[in-house]
Amino acid sequence: MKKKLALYIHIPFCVKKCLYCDFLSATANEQEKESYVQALFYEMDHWKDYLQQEYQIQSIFIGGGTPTALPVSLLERICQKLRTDFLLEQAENLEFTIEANPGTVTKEYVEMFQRVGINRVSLGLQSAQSKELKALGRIHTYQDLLDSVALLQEYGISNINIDLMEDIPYQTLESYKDTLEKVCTLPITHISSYSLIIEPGTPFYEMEQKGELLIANEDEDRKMYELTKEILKEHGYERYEISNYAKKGMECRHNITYWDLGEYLGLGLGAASYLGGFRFENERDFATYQEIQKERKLRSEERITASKVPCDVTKEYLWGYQEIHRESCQDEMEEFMFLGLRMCCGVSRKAFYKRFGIELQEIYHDALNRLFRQKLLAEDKNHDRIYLTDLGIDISNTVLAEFLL
Amino acid sequence: MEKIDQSHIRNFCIVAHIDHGKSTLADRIIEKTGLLTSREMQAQVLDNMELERERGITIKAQTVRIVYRAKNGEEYIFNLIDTPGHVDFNYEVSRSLAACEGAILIVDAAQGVEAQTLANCYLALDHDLEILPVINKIDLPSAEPERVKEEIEDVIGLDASDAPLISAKMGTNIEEVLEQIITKIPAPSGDENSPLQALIFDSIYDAYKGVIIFCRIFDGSVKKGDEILMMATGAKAEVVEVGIFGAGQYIVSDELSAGMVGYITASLKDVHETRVGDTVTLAKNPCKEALPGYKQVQPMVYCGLYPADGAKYNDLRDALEKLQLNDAALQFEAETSVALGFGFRCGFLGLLHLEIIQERLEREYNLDLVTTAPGVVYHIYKTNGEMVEVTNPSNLPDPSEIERMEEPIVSAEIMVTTEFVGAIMTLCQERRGVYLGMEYLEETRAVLKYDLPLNEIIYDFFDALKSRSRGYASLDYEMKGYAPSRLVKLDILINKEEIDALSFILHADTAYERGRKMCEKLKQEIPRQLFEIPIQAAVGSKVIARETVRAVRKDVLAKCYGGDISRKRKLLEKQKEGKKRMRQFGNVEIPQEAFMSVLKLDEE
Repeated sequence: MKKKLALYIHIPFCVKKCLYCDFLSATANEQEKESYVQALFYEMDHWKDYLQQEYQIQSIFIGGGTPTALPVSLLERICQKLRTDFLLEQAENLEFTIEANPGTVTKEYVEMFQRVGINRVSLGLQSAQSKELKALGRIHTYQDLLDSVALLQEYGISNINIDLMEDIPYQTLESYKDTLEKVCTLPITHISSYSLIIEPGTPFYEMEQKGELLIANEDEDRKMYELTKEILKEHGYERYEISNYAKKGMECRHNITYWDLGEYLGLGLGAASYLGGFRFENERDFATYQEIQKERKLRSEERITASKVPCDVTKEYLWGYQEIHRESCQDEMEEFMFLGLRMCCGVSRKAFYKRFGIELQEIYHDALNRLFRQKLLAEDKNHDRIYLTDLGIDISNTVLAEFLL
Repeated sequence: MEKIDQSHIRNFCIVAHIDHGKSTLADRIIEKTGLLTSREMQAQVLDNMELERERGITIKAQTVRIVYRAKNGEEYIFNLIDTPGHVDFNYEVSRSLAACEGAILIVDAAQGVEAQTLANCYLALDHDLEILPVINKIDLPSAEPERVKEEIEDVIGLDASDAPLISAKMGTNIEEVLEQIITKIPAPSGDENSPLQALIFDSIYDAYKGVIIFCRIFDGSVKKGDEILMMATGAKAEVVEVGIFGAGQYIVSDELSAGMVGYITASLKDVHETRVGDTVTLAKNPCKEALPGYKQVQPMVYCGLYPADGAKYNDLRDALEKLQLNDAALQFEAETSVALGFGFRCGFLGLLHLEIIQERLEREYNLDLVTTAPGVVYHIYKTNGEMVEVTNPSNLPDPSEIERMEEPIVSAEIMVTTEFVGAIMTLCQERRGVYLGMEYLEETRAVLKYDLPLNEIIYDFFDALKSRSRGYASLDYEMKGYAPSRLVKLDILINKEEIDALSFILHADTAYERGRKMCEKLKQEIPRQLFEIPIQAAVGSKVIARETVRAVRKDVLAKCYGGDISRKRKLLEKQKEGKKRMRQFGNVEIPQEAFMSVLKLDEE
């Protein structure tokens, strides 16, 4: 039986860089896009034989940047190659997500989604208010979002996520409430809502330093956060992770893989992976990334012509990666806790024991006692699952840091 | 070694305002001269020097003996005695000056006479030194040597007509300086046959040689095997070695005699027996009286030093003991703080001295320190007639037992360009200064004279002075005495508990302002916790300021892009690291930085 794997594909392009974005993404010309996709193909070639042998792909997530910044044809070629190179789960069991900017979703794209089996679309709306969208430097309007959702529905893609943002400049409690209420009555399945974080190196950071950024005060922020929980619950969205809400059964399986300590492979510029007990990352420099993939292509050709099985699989497949880290048992315990506790169902004592052969209590005795006492953690009536209380969720960083050994 | 005739010795120092080129000129002088006389070159000394070199001993002070072959064809011995360059070390400066017959006064050709130029020059004149003015930096486009000459004549009253115009940086006209040292600075004139009378102007502890006394011989002579007596401390010891200062090396000689500058090593274990300013004489044949001017230096500024990690208490004590071997002015005694645990109350000459010691402890001894607010020595007169000196606010007697309190006052001279006079006067007023007068040096510059309480200038007065004068004002001060003052103890309460390490003594009128600022600062420094934390400033039982650290309400990780776990992990690790640097007070965690931050209230 093959192992399960989640596959992430990074598309580091966008139509226009948003003012708050610090992620690996930039505008690019057609030629740069072509050569990037070529490098991505080389990277797939590099992994092809190994993955076919060992893994079955449970979920695919094409993220960015803005994947739809690639022309339809290029995107379609990527998806086709995924199908031919890797062993995918049956169509009805495969979760195949693509991120899209509401301003870029056209009939051509949606038809292509349908052709290649993309069955989930994540739309970065952020806000339904034009003033706020403008402040963020977004290229789309709320009407674009409505059009996108209608188009997707028309083509039978009804598993739709919408990303929202709290603490946007000019955002008020009323405007946020309006956004929430508009969005949760749409025919979609999933909503994520994150607070805006001002990251160094972004235009927002500069503006904040100069005091030019008007952001909601703490009380308002707090109320927005409460409001999200309240309104989404009213409309049948269950919170299943700190920032994620879904209709029943529509949780994002791909993201759950991260929090459940499942294996995943990230393809593309700067993408992170957790595979075979290793964490590793791809090169973040655009040109160097492409060079490395070319080199990998040559190496894999050599391997195939000589029909050699690499004697050291790890060394061969991890060639060219950065930040390669073999996970120690301690690393995994820590991650089991600080990732698992992000989910509202928390972590299971039994699962911990099964994975590590030692009781959770033995490792985290002091932290657990303290956090239970402070009412930041709670457990279910079977004394198996441990999860963050509402208070614990609110200050999750503080709580999760307690699980670093 | 051949004995040098006193008429061929010149002992001098260089005085200048900061940045006017003191060390550059010293370097040039050393470059243009030799380390040894031609006779010494051929003789025995080289071997000794090799030995010193192998042992890697270097001389702390820049004091150096050099040989200059003058234009008249004769060789002269120059002893260039270094002087510390800060007001904290005024006493040491005065003792170094006392070892000289003359001083080179450097004045910057562009900036002219500055506050320290004046202060140092007057200090040199007080010691009857012959002053040799030199105008430096004539290579600057903005140089105005003629104007500066006039200024020296008008402001200081020195004849500057033959002052060499030099550029120490470019090496221009250095010979002229060397020649004038011979012609203008008098030779020493001690009596070699009188009993030994030598002035200690510095002393250091060396791991190999023990205590090394830097001294100037006024009368008599000293050699290996002599038993010497330190007249003020009464310490006696047998001389192990005498010698002179090469550049960075000790050169052993047979004898030091009247007029010479050199070093003595003897079987002494720490510098407290060989205090700067004391007189060295021979135990068997002592001189009649000690040289004038000795005083035991007293710390002016005190603060608590605590190891950030309580387990390092013994390391801190060892480090302080080692530093004290070399620094007679450093004092310390053990103390305990409820807030900070075990540490030391340390006394320093001034804030710079404090900073130097703190930095050395952190760098050389790798200690992480928490420092409490620096304070001065208060004289507390109690109702029972007793007077106590208080350096730690926690030791202040109960107000009911206090009859009156006195605080140290300094006389300060601030030189400033006239456009900033108003701003500086305002500053001095804010710091409770008593205006004594103002003198115009010329149309655009003036010296302001104030009496200021020492505790008003030890925090941030220098910084405030600089920022309110765009860097132009300079300060010189000396201790004047004690004066009665309305002082109070300000306490800080965090979550209703008094934090002793944050208490300090200050004037009643400034208590409200400072209390308010401290609360504001602490509010920024203390991270929010699960509950609300009141921060209060109180005088006695009266709360005069209050801030509240609100409870944490939201602290959630940002979006996790494509499974980038390492970024998350780093964030959590940072959080955990931050927690480690906290000290626990009841339920409240206070970061160490909070204790340090209140020392810098006025920087914003």
